[in-house]
Amino acid sequence: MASADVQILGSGAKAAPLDYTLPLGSELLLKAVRADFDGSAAATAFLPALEIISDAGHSVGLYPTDVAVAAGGSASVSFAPFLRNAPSSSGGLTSQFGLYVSNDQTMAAGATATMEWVYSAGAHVLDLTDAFNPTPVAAGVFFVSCICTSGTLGWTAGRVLRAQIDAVNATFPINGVHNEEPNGLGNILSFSVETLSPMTPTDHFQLLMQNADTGNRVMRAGPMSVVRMA
Amino acid sequence: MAEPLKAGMAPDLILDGSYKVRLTAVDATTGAVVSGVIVSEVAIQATDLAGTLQDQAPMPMLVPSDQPV
Repeated sequence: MASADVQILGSGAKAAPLDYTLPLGSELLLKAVRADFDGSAAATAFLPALEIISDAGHSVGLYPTDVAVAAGGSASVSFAPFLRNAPSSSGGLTSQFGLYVSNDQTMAAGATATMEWVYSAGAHVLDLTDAFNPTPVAAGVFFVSCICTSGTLGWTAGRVLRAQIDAVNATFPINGVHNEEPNGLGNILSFSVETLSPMTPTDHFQLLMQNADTGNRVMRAGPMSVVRMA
Repeated sequence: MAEPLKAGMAPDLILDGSYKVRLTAVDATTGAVVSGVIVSEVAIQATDLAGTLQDQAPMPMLVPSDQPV
C-alpha cells in the first residue's frame, strides 16, 4: 500500500505526562502534533513539551515551547518542524502584552498597602504565585503602566493620593519613585504610574498605594498594562 | 482563554511501533515534570509509511498507554 498522510486522534485527558504508544507494525513519519495544556491546577510556570520515547524506553528528543505558561494558565500548542515563538537573536524583537487588574482595598487614613495583581486578558507575562509581588514568566524589558484611583468621593482638600510601582531587580532597580495627586476639589483622584526596566523571573514588581486623607478610603488600581519585549 | 503557542521539533522523525509520543509539561529551570497540568485534545499528523493505519475508519485513534485499549 502506498504511503498516505493520516490524522490520528488521541483520546482522553490526563495529567501530564500523557503517553501514546504506536501500534506494533506501524511506521510513521511524524509531521505535526497539537494538544491543549490546562494548567489551572499547576502551582508553577511550565513549558508544554513533546517528547519522543524509543521502543527501548530512551528519550530521543524533547521539544518544549520557548515561551512558558504561567501558573494557572492554559495553552493550545502546535508542534512542527521549524516552528518557534520568538525569533532568533538576529531576527528582531518579540513583544507581548498582558492586562491585569487589582482588587479594591479599604485603607485607613495614612496607611500604605501593597496592591494585589489579578490576570485580566492577553498574554500571561507575569507569574502570580505571589499575587502581591508578581514575577516575570520570562526575562525581558518590561514597561508597566497602572491607573491608580481613589475609589471614593469626598477627599479632604489638600490631601493627596500617592502611588508607586517598583521594578525590584538587582541590575536596574526602579524603586521608590512615586507620583502623587493633590486634591483641590474633593473629587475622585486618578493618575498613572509607570516603570521601565529589564527583569528576569527572579525579580518582581510591586505596586504601593497610600491613603493620605484623614479617613478610610477605598483604593483601586488598574488596569495594569504590561508590555514585555525580548 | 488558552494561549496559542508553537514549538519546533526535528524534521523527518520516523517512529516505529512501540515508540511513544509523550505530551508533558516541564519546569523551565530543572526540566522536571510540573504537576497539575491536564493534557487533552491531542491530534497527530503523520505519513503512514507501513500502511497499517489507513484502513481504520473513520480515523485512526490512539488511547493513552496506561488505559486499556
